[in-house]
Amino acid sequence: MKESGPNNSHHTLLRRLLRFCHCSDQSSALAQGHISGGHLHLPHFHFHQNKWDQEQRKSHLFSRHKPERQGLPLPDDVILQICSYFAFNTIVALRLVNKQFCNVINKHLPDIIENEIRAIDSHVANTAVIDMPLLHISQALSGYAAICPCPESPPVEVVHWVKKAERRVVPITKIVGIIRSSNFPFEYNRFPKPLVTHLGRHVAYYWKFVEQEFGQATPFTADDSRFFEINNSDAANGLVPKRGYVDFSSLSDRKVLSLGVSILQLYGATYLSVPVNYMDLFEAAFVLGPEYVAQWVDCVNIFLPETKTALQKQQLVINRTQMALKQLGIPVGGPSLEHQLRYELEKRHLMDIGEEVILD
Amino acid sequence: MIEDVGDASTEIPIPNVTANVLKKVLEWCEHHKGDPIAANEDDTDARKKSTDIDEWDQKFMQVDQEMLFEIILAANYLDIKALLEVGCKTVANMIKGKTPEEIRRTFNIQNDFTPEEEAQIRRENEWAED
Repeated sequence: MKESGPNNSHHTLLRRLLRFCHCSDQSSALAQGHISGGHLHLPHFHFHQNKWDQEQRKSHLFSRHKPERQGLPLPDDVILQICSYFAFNTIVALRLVNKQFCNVINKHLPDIIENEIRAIDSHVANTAVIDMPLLHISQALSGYAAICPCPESPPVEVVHWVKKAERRVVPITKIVGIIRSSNFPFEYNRFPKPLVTHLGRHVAYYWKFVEQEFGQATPFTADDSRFFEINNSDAANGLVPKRGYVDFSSLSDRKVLSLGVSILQLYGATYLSVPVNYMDLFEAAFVLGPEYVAQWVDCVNIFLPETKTALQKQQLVINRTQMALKQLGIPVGGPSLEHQLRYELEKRHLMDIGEEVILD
Repeated sequence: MIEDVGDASTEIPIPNVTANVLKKVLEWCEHHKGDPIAANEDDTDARKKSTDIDEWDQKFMQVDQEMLFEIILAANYLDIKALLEVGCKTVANMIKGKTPEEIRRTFNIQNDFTPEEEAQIRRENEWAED
């Protein structure tokens, strides 16, 4: 290395450079350089001394000396706080960023869900539905039912999940609606889809659903809107709702049931609703027991078009039951179920006493 | 911290905070010294979900990522909740609207998942996606 003349500042600069080069293995590059006229001339480096202090802060040369930061150098609780500013769906998606995010979110997911539920509506904080892939999470949540069958899931899984939910150590006070995004248009992005909690919002879901499904030809009239009015505390207390009339005559059976049952659940009834199709619903009701079957029959009854005769209604109930049983693989015509169905139908004056219910 | 030390003449070591960062923290504290103290420690949902940052804080946080993280770490260490919140909101705003891959690029985060692990998480996330 050549030096053009004695200069203290140059020496200082050189010392710094030599120190740097020694650390960063750049001595060969330095060896090829020289200093003249206040400038250091190097094949790869060109710094004016006056700018040295500034340059050394931002120079990539020095940043190479200090290893580049990898990731967020933040502790888990801070990561968690950052996540807390996002909607539930986003938090779940953030698990894909890296293992730190994934582990932190997974570890605190029950809390995150619980916070979300609390935030949505404290009135019905004990009412929640979690999706199937997150069973382990639902298990960690005390007091929450966790059933949300995907449309593609075989019905047997519904049964399995219902049973599993029932066996939970913590008693489930309420099993409320189940919604699957692929079946329903979810407009509320910040609302975690599997969590059906706020009854008011729930109504909005179905209004939206009806609007989108049927456009202007909504089956609800202005008066029918009263049907949806519900006092949250009443619902939470499981009070019997007032009955209303909704003309579903323009809807297909499946939609009648899926929509009807979901609306019914707004009234706080303690039963399971699986708006995938009525067979799933019945299957779940069957597993849950006679009380639920009764509610299912009630639902069918209420939402059958008024234009149908009692006989037609009866036949519809029977037909649907048969289909549900077949779907379930349950032998049709079983004495207990037949007896129960008959009882329920009679009770609602849907079947004359003495008339046989034939489940062939 | 001061109360913990007891003796007023005792030095308070802040080993995790550099002078530059402490200067920034003090600058923030000075600006916010007149702010009302939050009545309730519990975060309400409305507050928690909001990533709004007031103008002065936004400018204050216009620093490079290294300094931003240092401020957050200092606020966390010194238990200055309001500053920690501003820092976290700033990072949250940097994350907002980005895909996981974009987030990684923004913060120079290495994707440390195996393809199988990533696929598994994607499968688990499907139910939550639109």
